[in-house]
Amino acid sequence: MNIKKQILLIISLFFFGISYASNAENVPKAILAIGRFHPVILHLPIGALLLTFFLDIIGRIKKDYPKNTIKYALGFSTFFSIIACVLGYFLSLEGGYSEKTLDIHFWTGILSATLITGLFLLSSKEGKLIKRLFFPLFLATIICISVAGHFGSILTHGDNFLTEYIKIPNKAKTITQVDSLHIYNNVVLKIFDDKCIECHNSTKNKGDLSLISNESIVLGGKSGEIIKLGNANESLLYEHIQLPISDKKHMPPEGKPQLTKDEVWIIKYWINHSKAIDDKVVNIAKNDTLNNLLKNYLVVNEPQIEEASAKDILEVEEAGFSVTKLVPNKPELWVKFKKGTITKNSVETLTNLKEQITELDLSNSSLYDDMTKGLNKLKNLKKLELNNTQITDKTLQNINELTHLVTLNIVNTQMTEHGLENLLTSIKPKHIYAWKTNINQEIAKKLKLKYNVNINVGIVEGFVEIPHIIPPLVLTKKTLFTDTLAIKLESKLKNSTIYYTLNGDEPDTTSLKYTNPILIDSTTHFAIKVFKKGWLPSEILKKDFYKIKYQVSDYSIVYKPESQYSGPEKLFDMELGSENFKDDKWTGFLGKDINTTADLGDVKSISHITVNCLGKSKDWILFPAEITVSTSLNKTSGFKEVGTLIINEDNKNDLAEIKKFTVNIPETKAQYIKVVVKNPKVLPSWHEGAGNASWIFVDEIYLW
Amino acid sequence: MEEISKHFLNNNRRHFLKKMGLGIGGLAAASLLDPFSSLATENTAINPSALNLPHFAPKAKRVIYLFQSGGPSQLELFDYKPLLNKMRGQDLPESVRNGQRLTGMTSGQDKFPLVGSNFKFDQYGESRAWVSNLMPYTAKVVDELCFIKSMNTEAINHDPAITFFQTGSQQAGRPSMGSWMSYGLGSLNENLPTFTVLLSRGTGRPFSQPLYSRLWGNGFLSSLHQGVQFRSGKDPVLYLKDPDGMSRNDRRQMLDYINKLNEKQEAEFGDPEINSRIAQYEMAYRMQTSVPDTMNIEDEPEHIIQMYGMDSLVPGTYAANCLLARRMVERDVRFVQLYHMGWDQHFNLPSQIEKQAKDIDQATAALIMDLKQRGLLEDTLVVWGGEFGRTNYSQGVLTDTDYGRDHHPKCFTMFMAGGGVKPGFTYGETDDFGYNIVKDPVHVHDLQATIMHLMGIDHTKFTYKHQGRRFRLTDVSGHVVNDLIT
Repeated sequence: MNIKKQILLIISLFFFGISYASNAENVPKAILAIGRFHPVILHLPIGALLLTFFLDIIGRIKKDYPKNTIKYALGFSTFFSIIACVLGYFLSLEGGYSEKTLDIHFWTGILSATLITGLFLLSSKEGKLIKRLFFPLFLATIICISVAGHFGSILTHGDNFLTEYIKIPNKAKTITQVDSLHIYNNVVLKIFDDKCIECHNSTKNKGDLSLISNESIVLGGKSGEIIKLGNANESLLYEHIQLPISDKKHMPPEGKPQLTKDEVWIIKYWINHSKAIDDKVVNIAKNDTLNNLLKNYLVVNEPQIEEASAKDILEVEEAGFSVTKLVPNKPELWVKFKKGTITKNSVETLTNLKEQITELDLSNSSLYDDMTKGLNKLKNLKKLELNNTQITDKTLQNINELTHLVTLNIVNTQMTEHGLENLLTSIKPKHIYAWKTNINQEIAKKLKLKYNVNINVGIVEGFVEIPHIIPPLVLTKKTLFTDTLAIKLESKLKNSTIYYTLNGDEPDTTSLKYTNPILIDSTTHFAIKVFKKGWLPSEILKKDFYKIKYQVSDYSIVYKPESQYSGPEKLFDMELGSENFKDDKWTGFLGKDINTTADLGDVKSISHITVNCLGKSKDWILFPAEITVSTSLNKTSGFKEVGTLIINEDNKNDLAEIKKFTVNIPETKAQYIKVVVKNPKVLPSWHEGAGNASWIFVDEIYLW
Repeated sequence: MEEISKHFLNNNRRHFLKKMGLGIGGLAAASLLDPFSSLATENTAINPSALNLPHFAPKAKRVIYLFQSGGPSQLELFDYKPLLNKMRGQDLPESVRNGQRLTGMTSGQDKFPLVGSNFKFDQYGESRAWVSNLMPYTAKVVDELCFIKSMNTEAINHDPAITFFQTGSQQAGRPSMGSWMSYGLGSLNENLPTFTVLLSRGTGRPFSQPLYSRLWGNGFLSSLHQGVQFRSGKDPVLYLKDPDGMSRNDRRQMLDYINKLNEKQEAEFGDPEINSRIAQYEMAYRMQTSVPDTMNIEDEPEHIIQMYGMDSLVPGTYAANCLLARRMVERDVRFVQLYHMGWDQHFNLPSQIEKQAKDIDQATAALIMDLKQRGLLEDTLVVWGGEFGRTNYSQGVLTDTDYGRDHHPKCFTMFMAGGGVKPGFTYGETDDFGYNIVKDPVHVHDLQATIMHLMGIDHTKFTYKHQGRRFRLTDVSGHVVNDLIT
């Protein structure tokens, strides 16, 4: 009896508590904290009670009733059911729950606890009436606790938690146009449904806020209105979703599914641009991003396409097509004919996949009108490529039922205005490519206006400006020669004509015409130009070929060039280098002059000495400062200076530059010629390497 | 017995453990449901459908990436900043630079004189996009282009910056974007590689930095996915030609015999790498005819040559490469990567960029219009851009006619066309100094994520496990820029 008294005391205390604190505004935090243990405790009596019920029935059937076990078990349930009630009460003080549901949960919970207590008290009693009453009472308790549990679940998970996936979804109205979306009903509400409703619904409305309907949103929550139409930044709702996630007030709370960037954008847009809460998109200023984002919210009843069978696919592949899935695990197919001869039979196999083919490419094949008869059966076709085939207007009649067609490519076929217009009266593909057909720019413009489709018939006039032909290539690599040289020219452009002059004057179509290689036997200054009708003539190409009097075979040199640009023999090898000083044609001298004496083998008369130099100040290569030439009839003595050339190059060009420096001397007879090419020695003060030794690069010294 | 040993050889310990639970049952179910992904396509390296890509319907099936190597100056081409002309010669305010890291080339400069463009800007097309007079042909096609003025990167030097754009990481070693696409989406063409590369040198700065073939390397992916460089000379693809005196028939017989040997080896050891070896031999054999066919521009009519410009007749130029790129996408090459070198104009910028822009202007515009008139632009994405931009201040001495610009990572301009991006659209904004981004920044990873999205790939889900970690092109970041997509 002592226990009974205690239980009664607890229950009465409990009811006292309700009357005392139900209106309390400031509940101690400790109480709230303890309240959070409600979900931990409440499942204990439920589980224990069900097990007890099971033992009760089994005991009755097996005629082995475990009376004591049932008594102790009910005692356990009693204890924890009362604790659960107390904690549940504490939890309810937090607020944010719908009063109606809470009330039901509250009273059924208390009733359950009372009934369990009753059962416990009865279980230790003997007597026929009690025995008869015990089982029905037990059943009633189970029902009562189930009801309490169910309403508890509504409080925590929302009212459609149990039925969400059981209910047959309402067949949504098809919305295929962005224009007819209601921004709130069809878009924003969906976002709220996914991310917010769990805590802000009519039963569990944290912060007294419910986002379940138009009205409840306008009503706002504990902190007042949450939406100020036309001004997102002053709207509480937007402010909270914008807060950093670490902020306590950030919504949805940390750990819950977050809004994506796009969803935030849509909500902002909705608040900023709606006059009434549920504007249609059409009433809202459009821009591309919005249109794009909203497409995801369209309700489309896509036609259900079945997966193609492996056999059908194989058959089509064997007919010469490649079959690719546009997206794995989806039935749509992209079918392409591999180049070559296409037959009527092979096109007919496509009807096996008439539902699945979404993109069909029959281009670059021998396709003709007769083969395309079955194409209308491919009813889900979105893209059709028929370019570079034999088809004519007739084929367009064979595709005039393809209502889903978006892109049609008929480039380089025999299509005419008539055929295309006929097609456009029945279907309107968004993009039509009709370059190289009988449809010209004007027709395209006309049809575009009339049927609102894009027809591309090639680049707009005026895009291409008639270009200058590129100058010809000089195939002859040599530029120095001693006897004769054949000059070979080539133009990259087919059927163009090369004209040239031999004196450097600008050629025109009356000048010499190039047909065969030109044989020259003296120093020649070519000027070359290419002409072709319908093109602008090439720029003038100037190319000089030098006839050398004597090839030097014997020489001596004072300073050797640096080893990486070695070989003084290159100075007299009759080969010129390119702008790349590392091309093995150049000799390089660091800080030193070139001082070389050539032996002509016999006394000969000379008048010009040319030194071919490269300058590239960025790589510390300068042009020489001075060239002096001395001659002698005798190897060891009697050198007489016959000419000097002072060179004043500023060397400031960043790019490589090749220059010829020629020392003209009065006609002199000599066997030995000494050429001194003076290195500037140090880099000038403006140079990044000022003060360091400078390079000079020479690839050839020749006499003429 | 043989089947069993083969099965175990093809399935190493990890595969086996992984498949224990779901594998066998799942495989059987899958083969019933979906004829594409089942036993028929075991090898994920060769057939990507086992990767279940694309994740969603792609807007672009092919990509032509026109990489402008060296860092084109956005201030001379697209990003019009009249304030810089007004303030020419004045020092860059520290409040604008804000401690930004500089390269060693200008960090020693004691003054940063602002310099505006020497070239005139104007607005073109219905979209009223700003383009300078260096790009007259591009100006004619602005209504096809989607400009991003707010590109930004973290790298300040060429190699890390290019590597970043291509592989998503500044350090070398990861697969190039084209390799990822090849691995994920597979080939559309049996006769040509999935990922091809074309190089050209600009005339603006002809001896500029070279490029490294690892930029189009496959990283840790199978070597099947590396970019194949097509050269301009006699041998477009190295080691492809039969030696003199060897007939195609001899080659066929040789391959048949090697294949027999390989098949025997495969039957014994069951190593799937042997199968990919056989596949590569066969591909090379087919390429012996398909490559010359692709590279032969003899059949291009004159009006197409006029459209791309005369340079398109000179092999190895950017224009010729643009024309080849079109021929390649026509033949369904998935990813064509062009590189045009020479945009690194530290000094003498006005004279260099004039030549450099002339190299690319007409051919780029022509490529886009040519793709369009053939109906290819719809599902081919064209991307144009360099690895970073150039500074708003002059590197070296600023004179009345001459200046230079150093590398600038904080803002630069790129453009895309076709393949599901908005035509005639400009995204992002820089400040009046052309130094910082003030609106809608697009990071390198964002661009990569967007390109992948257009190809039907969710960049966060497309990974490859290597050295115990899952790698992706966008590393751990990147957001799809939805505003760019139609």
